[in-house]
Amino acid sequence: MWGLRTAAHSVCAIPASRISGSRAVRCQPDYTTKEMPHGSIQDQHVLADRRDLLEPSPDVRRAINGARERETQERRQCLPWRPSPSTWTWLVMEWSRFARTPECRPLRSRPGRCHQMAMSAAIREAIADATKEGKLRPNAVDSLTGKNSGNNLGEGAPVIHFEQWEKDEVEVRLILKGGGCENKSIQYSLPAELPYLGRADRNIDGVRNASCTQCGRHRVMVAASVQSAWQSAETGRPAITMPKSSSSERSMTSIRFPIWRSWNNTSWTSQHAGNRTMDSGKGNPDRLQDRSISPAPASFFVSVAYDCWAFRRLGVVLDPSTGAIRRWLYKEDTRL
Amino acid sequence: VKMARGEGLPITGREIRLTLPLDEVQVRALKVGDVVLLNGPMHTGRDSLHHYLLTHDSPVPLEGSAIYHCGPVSLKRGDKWFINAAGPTTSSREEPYQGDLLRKFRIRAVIGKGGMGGKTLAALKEVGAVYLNAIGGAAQYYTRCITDVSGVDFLDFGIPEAMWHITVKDFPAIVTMDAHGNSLHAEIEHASARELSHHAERVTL
Repeated sequence: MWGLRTAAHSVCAIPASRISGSRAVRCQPDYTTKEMPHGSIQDQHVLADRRDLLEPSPDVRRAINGARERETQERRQCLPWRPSPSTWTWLVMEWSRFARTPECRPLRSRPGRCHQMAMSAAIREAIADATKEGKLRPNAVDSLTGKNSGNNLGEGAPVIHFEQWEKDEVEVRLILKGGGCENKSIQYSLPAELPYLGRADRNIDGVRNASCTQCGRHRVMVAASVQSAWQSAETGRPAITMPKSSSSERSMTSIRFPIWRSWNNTSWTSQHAGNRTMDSGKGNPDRLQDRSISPAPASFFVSVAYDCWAFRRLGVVLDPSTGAIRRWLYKEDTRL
Repeated sequence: VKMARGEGLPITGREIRLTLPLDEVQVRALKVGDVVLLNGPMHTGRDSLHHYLLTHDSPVPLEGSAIYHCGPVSLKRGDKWFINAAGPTTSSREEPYQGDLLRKFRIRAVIGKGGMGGKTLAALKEVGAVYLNAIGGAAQYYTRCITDVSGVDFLDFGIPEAMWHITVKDFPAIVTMDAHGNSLHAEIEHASARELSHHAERVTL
């Protein structure tokens, strides 16, 4: 009995905003057949339900609602000019627009089983379709020629991760996130002299320089001491990735909390119209999970990446033999 | 829910309604914190266009115009282009170009997200131009301000990087860098730096 897990990233855009796509698919083949089953899981399962895809996740909506309350008070202190209407009004109107998007379609489930290549093909096909419809912006650009493929497909676009697992079901997760986050992510090599912080040693102490100069953040991802080739994949996960060390278990806990505390205490944030509380991941330690991987010994790069508030995600758990949807992920009925 | 149902921007009367193209006097009268509503033609541009314009002429006159840092989602129906999404993109990417382009083309307004740096700020002051911050992520809202797509140049740069010529109605933005050397982005950065320095203590394992 064995399964698969998949995750993918690409930089696309849906009409709502700049969005980059990231998918994770976990699948468990029909082990009763004793062979890798064939068939396709149409990714349209996820892309078909436009309305939910285009809506921010429930946790983001909750955070924004909370922040809106706080900002009513804080705005006067933060903003010397008191713009009206508030940023929140604009954002919420934005969401109401998503809900009315005429391309919302009812969900259809299709029969299928788990086959990595078939799933990859279906995902790529769905990406191309969504791009053709104007749901995603064509964002796959050849880095040598500068040529835009026009359909969001290319080498490494979208990035798809598969991972086997033991469960008798297939999990498909889709994340679309703001492309702007990508170019404001940072990477540096330790030891280094960090602005305002001083010397950052060649250890966890150096993992402290995260900044965001545009949209409000949703979650922050830090990867430390991994080879640079790993950085993008590792920072794409909601985890802080750190080198294995002799005192691993205890130190993970003690490392996590100082970093998290610092993060929560800082309101230096977004240059987004001056608002300061738009950090929807804030206050939720679950967003900072630590995970240990083994780096090359001479490598101590630190990467800091984040998702902005405008990211979208959706997921389904499928029956591996029929492709029917067993349940939805990230769908709480808490609309604004 | 109340706000979600809102059909448009509630106008308070304190906004400054501007018609593009702008002249220097209008622009120098603006100061950081002003909320403006833009009306008229503007042009989108990202990295490819900024790079190109450094060494080439513009296909359209840019004097007094507004450059919108934006890579839209566009669809062609028949002969006509429509924009499906047009939110601001990260302006700091254009920092190496913007000041030179402001001087070269006498552009009066730069619209984007996240603000720009010292080089641009100096050029804004010298030329008489402003940086207008739009809300990152609110692409649908801004799309509704677009009343017409009059044309496109450099489609070979790809849809996001092409120069889209659009007409807007009451496009809202906040002046965050003015022609007098003021930058709210710089202020926020300084405030952030002060807070960050409070977290300079070492992490002990």
